[in-house]
Amino acid sequence: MRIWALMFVLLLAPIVLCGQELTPEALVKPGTDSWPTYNGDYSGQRHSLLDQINTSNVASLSLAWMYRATDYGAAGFGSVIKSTPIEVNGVLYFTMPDNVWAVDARSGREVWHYKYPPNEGGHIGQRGVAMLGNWIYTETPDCNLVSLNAKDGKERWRKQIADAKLEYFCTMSPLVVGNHIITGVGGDSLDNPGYLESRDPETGEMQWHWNTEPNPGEPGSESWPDAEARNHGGGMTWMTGTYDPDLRLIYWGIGNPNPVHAGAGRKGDNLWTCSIVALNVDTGKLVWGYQVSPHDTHDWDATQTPILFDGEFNGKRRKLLAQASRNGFFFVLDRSSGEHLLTTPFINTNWTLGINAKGQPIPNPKKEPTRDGTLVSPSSNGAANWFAPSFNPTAGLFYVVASQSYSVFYLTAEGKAEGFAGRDDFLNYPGTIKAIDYKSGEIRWAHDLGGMGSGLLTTAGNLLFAGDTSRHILAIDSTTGKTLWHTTVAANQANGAITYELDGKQYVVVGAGDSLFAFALGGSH
Amino acid sequence: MSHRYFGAVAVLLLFASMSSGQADQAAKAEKQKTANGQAKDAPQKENAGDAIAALMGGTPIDKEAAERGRKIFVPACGFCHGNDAHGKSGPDLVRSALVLHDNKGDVIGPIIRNGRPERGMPPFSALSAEQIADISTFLHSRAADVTNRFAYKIGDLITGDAHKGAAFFNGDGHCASCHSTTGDLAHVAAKYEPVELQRRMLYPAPSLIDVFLGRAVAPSAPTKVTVQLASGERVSGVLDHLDEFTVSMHDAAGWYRSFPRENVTVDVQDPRAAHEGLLPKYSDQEMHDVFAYLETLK
Repeated sequence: MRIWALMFVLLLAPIVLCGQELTPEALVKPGTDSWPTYNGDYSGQRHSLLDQINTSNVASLSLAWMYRATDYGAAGFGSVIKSTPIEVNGVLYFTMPDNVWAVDARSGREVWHYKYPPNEGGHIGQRGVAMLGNWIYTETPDCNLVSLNAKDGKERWRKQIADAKLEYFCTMSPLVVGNHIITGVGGDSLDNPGYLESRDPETGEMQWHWNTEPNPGEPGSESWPDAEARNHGGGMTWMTGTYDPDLRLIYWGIGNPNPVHAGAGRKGDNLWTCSIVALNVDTGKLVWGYQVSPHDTHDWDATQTPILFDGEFNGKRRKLLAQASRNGFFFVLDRSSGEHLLTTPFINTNWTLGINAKGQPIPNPKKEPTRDGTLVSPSSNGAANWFAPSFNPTAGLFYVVASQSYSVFYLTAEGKAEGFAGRDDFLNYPGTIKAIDYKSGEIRWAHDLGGMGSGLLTTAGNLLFAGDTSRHILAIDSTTGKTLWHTTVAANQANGAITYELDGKQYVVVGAGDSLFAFALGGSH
Repeated sequence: MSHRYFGAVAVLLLFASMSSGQADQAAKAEKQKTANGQAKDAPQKENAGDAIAALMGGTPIDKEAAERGRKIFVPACGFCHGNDAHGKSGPDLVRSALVLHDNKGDVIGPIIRNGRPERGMPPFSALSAEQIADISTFLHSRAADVTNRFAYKIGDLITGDAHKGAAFFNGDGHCASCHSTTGDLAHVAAKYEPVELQRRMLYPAPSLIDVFLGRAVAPSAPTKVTVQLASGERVSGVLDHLDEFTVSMHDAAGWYRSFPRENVTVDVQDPRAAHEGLLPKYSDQEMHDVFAYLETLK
């Protein structure tokens, strides 16, 4: 019996070791052979320890393979790959609205293609899947959370996470922590309240729900004039957050208030819109919050990735969080307590009266939208947006695609203000990578991209990967900002690059148009 | 059921795949693109909101049914719910979950016919199923009006002082160093809608929405470029494209030419540069004043 049992164990062991399952532990410390989450790891740094490709040899980087997606239907504006692929055990999983693909990470060969039925949800973009165990999780345009079998792309279940009839739409890559699938929602056109939820990985049932507007009596509820304003106050949660496994806190950037451009009916700071919040991942309870744009009227949500890193600040080693926010300001906070440490502009803004004692920009009421227009920088598109930033812990530099944009903001609502209640007319649409020293906010270098379009990746090879708006993929020296390598692809890069090493070869993969392009030293050899 | 979402990300995503501030180049690129097959076919004079809603694949609102519904709604329901359905003593019906879930009266029909006596709403039993369906269409059209920001009307722009605007034009703004109100700007106010004129005054390029929809609009003024080769030879023309690696132009003879930037020096005379330089300097009052002045040039 014992020998049988031993043999059984021995037989099973290799199977277990070779299994394709993604464990919660692997998500805490992902290997360089994988990119298992939207940001690669929980920190949001998008910084890889791989250095096979580095400043000395990047000039010989060349195409390893490409994969062109087909048969994706009417994916709307979203028919470009905005998703960051995840890579687990040699397979890439990525999306467009209503579509999920699994593709061989070594060769670009398609493994399977899942299609969600046509629907009237917002097909604006899809930012990627999450994985736990054998299961893939994705949000659909009409706000279902769908679970697929990672082996074959077969659907296991779908659960509604928001009511698309009310104009919610869903685009983000869920965040997996332990046995929690954290889902966020989008849609700020009809004054819906935003929220985050945790879902059970096996059943999709809700574990907790957190509203971005506080309930009556809770701290922050006094920042709204009345229940009507608070219940219709917006605050969407459409970008994937970050997580600190030691503190068991998730960090999320919260969207703009509603009605978007009309502030008169919602006097007050409107918490927790345009804020960075820390929630206990097991309970969904708010631990701290910090508002980066009190009483926003310009659509400057604070959904940009709150990047986590440990480092020195004013001579003291701290657990830090930094965000280059849509409103044009760079913030550094202590992520244990939410204590404010630094606020500096990373473009020239013209909408504030200064910075208050808590480090928050004070909005100039004269720069709120008016009937005849106010000239404001940045535009509603923001000084930064969803394009993934990156942080290089060795250099202490935070990289963001910044936009010195201007726009004329108009208030248009007749009678009661609802929905957007106004609009801005874009003037320019520039985009420049800026390397920000986190200790001072000082901009070390800037590199023009022509416009905003791609996310960023940094590596231990001292490289930064980005796409410009002339269809180039660039490898830039992350210390100096100088371009060391470039190539031209079929369309502008629309996602953030990822990197992983398989069989001793480092790959860099970008999405451009409806195709993935993989690069390696020596190309496919 | 039929209106569309125009989220905070919508505008961004409209432009994310576009080729940046050089809108004329973007226009070229967009025309070649078949994002949804519809962009280049968009009617020229159509409301941008409708065009974008169509591009997003939404079900269009039956405008005649909505108007019939409005005529029933206003006398029957407007006293409590407001003629625009934004709510008065009765609830707001524009962002009502019940209404948003309704399809031709299947949800709101029983409520209209039976009333809600406990909340003081009387029954409207005389309304037919067709009339209730029209009311439903009207209410959906109200939600569509609210959610579709590109259909919002921008108006009442002329609030500045034209005399002060003229002084800025000829003085601090240095506008007169490139422009003449009797030359290139003669009758400029007759050429553009006010919101278009205000934008072009600030930054003379087509709107990104127009570009995205492939609309025929006045292009940006051409940008002149001179490239000096390593040999010292200088080539001038109209800029076609400029990026980190390449500069290209149509030269005086009309030929397309491109040059790797590492071997040449490039001198760009962008007519937008002076406008861009003014953007951080304008006060809103100065902007309104200059605009009021340009509006006198009918």
